[in-house]
Amino acid sequence: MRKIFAIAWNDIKIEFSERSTIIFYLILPIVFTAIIGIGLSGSYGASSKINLPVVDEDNTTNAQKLKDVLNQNGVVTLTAYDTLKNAQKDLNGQSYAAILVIPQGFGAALENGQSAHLTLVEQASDDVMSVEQAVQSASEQLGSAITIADQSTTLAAKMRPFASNADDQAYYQANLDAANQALSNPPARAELVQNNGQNVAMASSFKQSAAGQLVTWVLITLLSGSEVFVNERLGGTLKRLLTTPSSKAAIITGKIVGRFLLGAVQIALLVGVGALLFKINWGQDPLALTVILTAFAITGTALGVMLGAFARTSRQAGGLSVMLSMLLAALGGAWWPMEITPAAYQTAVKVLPSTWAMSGLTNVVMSGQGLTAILPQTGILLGFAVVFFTIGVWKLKFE
Amino acid sequence: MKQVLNIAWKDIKHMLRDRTGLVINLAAPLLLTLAIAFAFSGIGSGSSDNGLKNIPVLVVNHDSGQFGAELVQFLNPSAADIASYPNLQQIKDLLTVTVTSDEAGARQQVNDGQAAAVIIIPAGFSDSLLPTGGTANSQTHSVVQVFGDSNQQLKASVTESVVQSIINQMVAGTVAGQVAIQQLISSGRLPAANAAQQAPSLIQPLVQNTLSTNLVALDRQVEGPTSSSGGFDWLTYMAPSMAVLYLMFTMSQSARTILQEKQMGTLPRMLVSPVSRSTVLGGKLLGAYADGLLLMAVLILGGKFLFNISYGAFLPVLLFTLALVAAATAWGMIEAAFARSAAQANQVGWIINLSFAALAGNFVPRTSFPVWMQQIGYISPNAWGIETYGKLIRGASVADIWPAIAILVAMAIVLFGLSSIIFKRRFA
Repeated sequence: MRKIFAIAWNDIKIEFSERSTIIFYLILPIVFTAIIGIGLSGSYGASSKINLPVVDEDNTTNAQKLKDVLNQNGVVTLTAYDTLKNAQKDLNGQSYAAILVIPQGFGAALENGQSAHLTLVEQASDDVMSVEQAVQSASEQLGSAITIADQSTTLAAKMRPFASNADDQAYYQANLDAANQALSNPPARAELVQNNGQNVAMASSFKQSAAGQLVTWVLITLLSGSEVFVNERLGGTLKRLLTTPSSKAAIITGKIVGRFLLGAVQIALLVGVGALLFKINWGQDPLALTVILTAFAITGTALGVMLGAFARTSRQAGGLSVMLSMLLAALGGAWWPMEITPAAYQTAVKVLPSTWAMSGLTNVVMSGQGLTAILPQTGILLGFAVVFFTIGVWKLKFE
Repeated sequence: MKQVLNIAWKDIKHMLRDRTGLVINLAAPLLLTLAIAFAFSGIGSGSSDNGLKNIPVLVVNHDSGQFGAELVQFLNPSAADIASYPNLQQIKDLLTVTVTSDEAGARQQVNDGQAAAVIIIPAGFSDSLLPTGGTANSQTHSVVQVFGDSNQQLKASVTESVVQSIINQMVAGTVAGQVAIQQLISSGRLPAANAAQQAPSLIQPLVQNTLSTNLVALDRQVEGPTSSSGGFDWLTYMAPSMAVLYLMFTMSQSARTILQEKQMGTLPRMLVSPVSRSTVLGGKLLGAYADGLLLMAVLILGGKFLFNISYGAFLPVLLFTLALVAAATAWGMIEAAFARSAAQANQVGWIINLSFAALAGNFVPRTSFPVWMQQIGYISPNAWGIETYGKLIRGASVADIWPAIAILVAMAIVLFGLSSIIFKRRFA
């Protein structure tokens, strides 16, 4: 055991003898998380409502009414701009899900009982759906009130014509006010309650991304260890280790433990920085989080060993580690929520360890579940690790 | 020049001999793009819309009145319902509804992941909308609970939105009738004593019109590549994004060969031969450049024939790709120039390439980032590649993209120059 840890510690010291390693292992994960975190958290205002820039080209009562309804719905915070061009120039690609444009003629069309259009200039953002729903709901309320007032006034005129246009307008306005008041305080609503007892309106895109970036980064780090094995084999240092009084098993185990410890440090950094800097809530059960991440780190290490055994050149190892880390992360649900993918896809990717890692992490981070919820995923990951280690150690050549 | 070409050709042959490595580096981005296409249910079709459809939900109705039954009906509309209210087609496409009276069993199905949510209509729902007294009691509020699977939050949220939308319409219908009758009574057109008798026939067409009229239409205009339905096209964004990402990694690998040759001793042997250091460096550069061009040619053609992604007109794509590969090669060279060994160059390459990938939007669309971050991202060929290929896919010409070409060429010249100074000093 002492020899194993001595070899592991020696590998870590060699790794960190290069100053760039400190950047790669310690600083880059933090920078990476920060970049992704800043990129994804920008849509939210301080109150956690979604920022919605609004360009009101109409400036009528109906346009104002629409904005009032949007302000009341609690989902969006409006920021006013006079033209779309100015909004886009001022925002200049800043983080926003969409810009709402109320075109000139909007209010007049509605007053004449005609259809009116709103435009949502959208960007690729997880908040687009929430913004669309909020705007859709507000526009439906506005449209319904106008339709009700219009229909009611027509009915009244049929039963007894109005004495004058002024009477007609007054009747219409009274109906509109009554309809708006009633619709703004509806007697029924829907409410989403999750089966874990939490009451959330929409999945947190940042939480999903934080978990996904964790999986992606761990894969990149641990799979890139395959290049180290290849370089040591081609450089002859692996062969030289056999002349020392250490068994092949101890040498291999030592190197594996070294890679695992490097990955574990990175995971701890990413989780810690995420919690401290970005207030990521990594779930309710630290033990469950530790167990699933440890299992995943072991699997990633084992896969790196297996890649190192099969790759013949540094170029092959490098290419394989980049390819597999990206593919496994993407296919396993680290880059987009699995639930938006087809059923056939979800079944097919169950052969990947990253799928189970994301499933376990999602249970802990997104759903707030505990240890018992991640035991199946942990078992499967360790099963993958056994297979990868077995193949890797069997195929690994020292020269 | 002949010696430069000889050295470059030597490197190209060496690269081509490593067939496994070549296949891996070419296959990786294509496989990744294929994965994206599969995930967004559009293999080979070029479509990559969000695949939220046929969400399995259950409905439990505890309400004994008309509105509870109508809510169930609208959640699972028939052809006749859709003919009366065309908007219900969207609900039909979104949800796959099963009606049940067993609430406990339904909740268990959600817990087991067999359903995304169960919609529970409470007793008194109808009464809250229209009490038997005929006038809605504003103090009675009814909550339709959507009990969702925490592992299917998106689908549960969509279900809640659908239910809320239907409830909004139902509320609008009841409000229409109530407001109309109240105003008719207030204006003297309808005696209060006759209201109960005459109201149903009076308001029926009004309610019908309110439910079937949608005065405000919402038009979506997506910035960035769009799919056939108008949504953001992830495939068209990610295909060039992955191509550029792999180009950067490949150029790092190619440039590292100069350090690997130094370690193995073949570089010193080259330097004692009658070729100048500039010639050796030039040959290495050209070899790496050829590697990058080959990669991009395969990925662009692969994108076209496998995923039906047209990168645009030949000339602008060619000119831009030549400039992009030059800039990427230059970055690879500068990484190798500052590194002391191949292992260190490997790490420096990872650091730079991953940082560029994050800043430039290889994993998350650039438009999600604050402006200052987007500006910083322009230091990388990745950002220029993602943006400009996006423009080319949308039909940009050379006139539209020449600034990007010029900047990448300038980037390449500066970095090549710097790396050659450093290499010459190191191998003096």
